[in-house]
Amino acid sequence: MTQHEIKNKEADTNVTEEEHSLKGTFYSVMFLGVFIILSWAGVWWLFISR
Amino acid sequence: MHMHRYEKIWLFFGGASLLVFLVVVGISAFYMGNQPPSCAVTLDPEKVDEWPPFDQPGLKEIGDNEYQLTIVASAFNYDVGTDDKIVQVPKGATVHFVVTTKDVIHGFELAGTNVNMMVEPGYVSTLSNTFKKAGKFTLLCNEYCGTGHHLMAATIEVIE
Repeated sequence: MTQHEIKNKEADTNVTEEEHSLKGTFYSVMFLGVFIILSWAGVWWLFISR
Repeated sequence: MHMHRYEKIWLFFGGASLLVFLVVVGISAFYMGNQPPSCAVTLDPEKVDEWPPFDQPGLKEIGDNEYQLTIVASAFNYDVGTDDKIVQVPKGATVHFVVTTKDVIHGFELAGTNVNMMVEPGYVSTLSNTFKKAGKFTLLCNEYCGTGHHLMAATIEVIE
């Protein structure tokens, strides 16, 4: 096995591991995004109603 | 470059939110004409008393249910043109606040409304507000300006 092939194999393994571990990150990112948008909408509603 | 599917989704979500908020800021600034309360209008802070309209502070009717309220802020007072520091405006009136300060930076907050700005020496701060609800609103300083800061207040009464 050449040096190049070994490197490629390592990269492949890393990708497979990441794909299995992103679900929690996805939910937290989306939760934060929705929270920011709802807070913004709340402040905007307050501004309009006054 | 390899990108995870979830990664693509949240990057798109983040990019789209950024775009939406930038468009909102653009519409607010260029279509609705919103700008900071003080930007380009300046005056000599040592000659405020002679400088129109600040030589005659107070409420002035300038149109149909439209008023200009000129106020001079100083440590620790708002000169609103009346001795009891109460200004009465009818409900539904649009009031253009034109404010400056003689000495230090003061705050200008009409509690319970969207009127909230900073008043800086040498600058004229302006803000407009339409009073939809009747009631008494306290005008107060929200920038610490010295030992009498907490005594600095006036009242705007919106009457039916």
